[in-house]
Order: sequence, then C-alpha cells, then structure tokens
Amino acid sequence: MLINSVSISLLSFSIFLLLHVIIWRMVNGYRGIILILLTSIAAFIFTYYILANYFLGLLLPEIWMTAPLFYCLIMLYSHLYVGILKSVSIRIIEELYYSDGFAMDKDKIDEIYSTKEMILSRLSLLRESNWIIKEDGEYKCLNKAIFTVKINLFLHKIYRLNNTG
Amino acid sequence: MFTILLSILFSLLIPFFHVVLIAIFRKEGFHIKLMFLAFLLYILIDIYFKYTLYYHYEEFSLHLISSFSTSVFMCLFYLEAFSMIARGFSMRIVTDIYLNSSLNSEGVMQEYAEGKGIEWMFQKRIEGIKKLGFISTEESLIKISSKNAIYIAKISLFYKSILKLGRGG
Repeated sequence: MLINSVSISLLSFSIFLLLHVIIWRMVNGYRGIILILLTSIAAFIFTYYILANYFLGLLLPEIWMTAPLFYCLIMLYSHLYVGILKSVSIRIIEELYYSDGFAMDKDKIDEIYSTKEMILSRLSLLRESNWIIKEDGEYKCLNKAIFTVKINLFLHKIYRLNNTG
Repeated sequence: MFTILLSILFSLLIPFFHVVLIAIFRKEGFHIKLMFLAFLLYILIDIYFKYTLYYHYEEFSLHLISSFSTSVFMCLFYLEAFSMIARGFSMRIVTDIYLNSSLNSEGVMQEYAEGKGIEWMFQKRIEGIKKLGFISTEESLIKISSKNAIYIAKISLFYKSILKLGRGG
C-alpha cells in the first residue's frame, strides 16, 4: 500500500507537469497560481480515473493517503514557479548572464530592468484586480486593500518587522 | 484522514513559535532563521504525536508520510504568507498608498517602504544575491562571481522559454 500510494502521488505529479507545460504553451494571458491549482486537481482526478478504469487489479489507496504527498509536491513546485517568474534577484542574474563578461554597470541594469517599469506594471495589476483605483493621476486604496493593509500593519508589529518590501 | 487534520491543527503552532522566538531573541534580520526553527519544532511535535498515536498500526509508515507531507505543505504555506508580509512587493506598494492616503506613480517610487524609495529595494535585492555569493560588486560594476549563478540563469531562462513566461521579475 505504501508503494502504491507514493507511486500514485508521483504519477499524478508527472501528469500534472505534462498538463502544465501543454496548457502554458497553449494559453496566453493569466497563468497564475489558481490555474496551477486547477491543473493539479485535473491531473489528480485523471490519474485516479485512469487507474480505476484500466488497472482494475491495482489496489487503489484512499485519497487521503496520496493527496498529502501530491499536494506537498505541488506546493514545492508552486514556490519554484513563482520564484522564477517573479523574483527580482533571478532577473538581475539573468541580465548579468546576457551581458559581456557577465558584468554590467548598475545604471545599465536599471536601464534594461527599469524600476519604474516594475512599479507601473504592479500598479496596473493592482488596478486590474480592484485593489486600487486611479483618480486624477493619484492611486487610492479600495476597501479590500484597506482591510488587508490594516492586517498587514498589525502583523508587522507582532513580528517586529521594520524593513519590509 | 485524522492524521492529516491533526497536522493541520498543529500547524497553528508555527506562527505561535515564530512570534515567541522573535520576542525571545529580539535580533534584527533573524526572522527567517527563527521561522525555520519554528518549522522544526512543529514537525518534531507532529511526528512525536503521530508516533505515539499510530506506532502500533500496520500502516504506520503511510501515516508518517501523510503527516510529514502535510507538515511540509503547511510550512511552505506559512513561508509564502510570511514572505508576502515581510518582502511582498505589491503588498508594500498598497501599504504605502494607504499610509499616504493617495500617491501618483512617482510618489509610489519615492515613498516605497515608508520613504526609503524604490532604489532601496533594488539595492536590498542586490545585497541579498551578493550575500549568497552569486555576484560581486566593484564600485558601480556588478559581476557574476559564481558558477552556480550561471547555472541558475541557464535553468531559469530555459524554464521560462518552455513555459513561455516572458522575462519575468
């Protein structure tokens, strides 16, 4: 049963990776964590369906035995995905890798990977997801953002965080 | 099923341990290390309870794997949540807009992180990768100083090209 459970988790994860690559290459636009979650659910259900229908001799373990390991792998993968996609540090390393002698002037990095662009793209994303609005060229927080910020500031106090961001 | 629910319930200990450890050590820049210490304490307590409850069960190893996977899942979930509070870029922008009532895009750049400015954030990231030994700086010149950084760049670029993720960052 132990081998079955681990194998099914790993098989589901492999199917997830395959689906993930196919979907990401086909779909343009939003491809965030929610889509990863939906893909993972589809991969998990698909694996159980295939095994239940075509490998009837196999003793299928209950979902609670396979889901934790599978979702642990999905969580690890999501960290890798978001890390590579959003990390400023990785982007800096990539820009250095592209440059002559793997070296670049700080101003040149700022030219290629503009901090202004970085801020504007985030502001645009925040507007699209209704966290902020733009009125007369000024950005203001909407209720959802105000509520979250209040919690965030409270947590800063609890965790004694001084230099966030 | 009960073994997973118990691991999820015990995960409430992570923020508790983390906050208590921060209050005990009171050292700036120690938050991440203390978070991992909180994870360790949580996993040890979880395993101890599972050992006591399920050791005589035939499927003990299965319970242990389920528990451990759930514990790691909860730790990663907490890590992401804490990272958003401590380092979240969008969260910091929204917080600064709230603290200043309203800001234009130039103001967001100037007031980033309670007035430290966006340059501070960029410098913080550069210092971070420098501390890891991936880059070195000579005056205003930044240079890759480790083979690992080259591997990271290659893997990252390959990964982004396969999934058509664009430049990222």
